[in-house]
Amino acid sequence: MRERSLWTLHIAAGLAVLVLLGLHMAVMHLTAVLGLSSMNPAGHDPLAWENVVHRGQQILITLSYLLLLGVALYHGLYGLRNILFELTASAEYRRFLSIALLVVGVGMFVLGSWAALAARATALAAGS
Amino acid sequence: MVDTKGTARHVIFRVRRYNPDKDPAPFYEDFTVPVEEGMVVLDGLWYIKEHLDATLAWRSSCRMGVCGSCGMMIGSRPALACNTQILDVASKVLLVAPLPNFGIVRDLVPDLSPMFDAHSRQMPYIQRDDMPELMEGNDTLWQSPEELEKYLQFSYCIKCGCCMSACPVVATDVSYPGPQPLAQGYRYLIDSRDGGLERRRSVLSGEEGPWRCHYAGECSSVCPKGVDPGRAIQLLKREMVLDYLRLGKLRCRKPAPKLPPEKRRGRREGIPEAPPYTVKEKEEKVGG
Repeated sequence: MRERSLWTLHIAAGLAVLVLLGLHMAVMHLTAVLGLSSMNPAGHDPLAWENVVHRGQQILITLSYLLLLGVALYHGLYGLRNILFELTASAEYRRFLSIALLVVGVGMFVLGSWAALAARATALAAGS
Repeated sequence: MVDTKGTARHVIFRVRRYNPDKDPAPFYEDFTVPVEEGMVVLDGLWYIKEHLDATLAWRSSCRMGVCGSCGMMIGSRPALACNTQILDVASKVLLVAPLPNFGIVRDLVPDLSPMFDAHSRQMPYIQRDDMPELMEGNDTLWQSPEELEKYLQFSYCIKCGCCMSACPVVATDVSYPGPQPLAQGYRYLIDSRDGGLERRRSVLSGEEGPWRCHYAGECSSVCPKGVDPGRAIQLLKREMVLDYLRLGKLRCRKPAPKLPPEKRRGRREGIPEAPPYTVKEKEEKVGG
C-alpha cells in the first residue's frame, strides 16, 4: 500500500514543481512580457534591491518558495531512492536508505526554509 | 544474402553452453550448420542435436509460436527460436544464448520459476464472490465486445519470458515482478467479469506492484506475440492511482452479471453439435 502512496505523491510533486517553477520563472524573467509589474515595481530587473525587498515582503512568494523547496526535494529524493533501490533487494538496506533519505530531505528543507524565512525577515526589516 | 535457389549455406551457431554439474562457468561453442531459406533457429538447433552434439539442451514444444517454450537470446534480442528465420538474423555467425535475467538450468534452458511465482502472486484468474455457484452451473457471463477489447491483447501472452529478459529493471531489481506478471495482473483487473479488486489491491499497491517500472518499453518491443506489456503497466499504474484517490471506476464496478436464460442465443444455423465426450466421467473411471 505504501509504495502506491509514495509514487502518487511523486507524480503530484512533479506536477507541483512544474507549476511553481513556472511561477518562479514568470516572476523572475518574464515580468515585462507578462505584465507582472506588481511583482517587480522598481523596473524589469528582478535582482534590483527594491524588487528583492518588495518580493520578500509578499507572504505568498515566501510560501511558494517553501512549497517549491518541499515538492522538489520529495520528487528528487524519491527518484534517487528508486535508483538506489536497484542496487540491492536487501530489506534492511532499503529501510536504512529510506530513513537516510528522509533525514537528508528534512535537513535540506529546514536549511532552505531558514534561508527563505531569513530573507523575508530581512526584507520586512528593510521595508519598515 | 538469401540464396533463393535453396542450396545450403553455412552459418556458425555460437551457442552458449553450461552444465552446472560439471562446468565451472558458461562458455561458447561453435557449430557449423547448413542453412537453407525457410529454416528457423529451432531447425538449426535440431540439426546440431541430431548430427553434431546430442548433449545440447533447450526447451521447445509446439514449433509454431504458441507454447512459449523456446524463448532464447538470438543475436542480440530475446526471441522465439521457432519463429525466427536464421537468414533474417545472421549471414555468417549467429549467437544463441539462454534468456538473460534468469538462472540457467542447462545450456539454453532458463529457470523461469521466478516469473511463474510472480505471475501466480498476481492472482491471474477471475475472482468473484459467486464463483463456487458459477462453477457448479452452466452459466454464461455477459461481456460486451468493447469490454473484451480492453484486455484482449494482453491475453495473448504465452509466458515465454522474452519481455522479462529484455527489462532493464528486472535485470537490476530482483524484487520487481517484471512485465509479464504485471501485464497479466492488469489483464484480470480490467476484465469486466472480475470482481477481485479488493483482493488484488494489497499486492498491486506494494512492492509487487508496477511502481518501479521506468517505462523503457523494451518488453513491448521484443514480445513475439505483439502484446504491449509496457502499456499494461502504465494503465495499471493509472488504475491503482485513481483507486488510491477514490476516483477509479473499478472501485464501484460490479462484476459482469450472469446472462439470463431467455437472453442466451441458441446455436446458430449450420453449426454442428459438439461430438460426444471421449473421456469418461470421473465416477465411471473410479468405478471402472
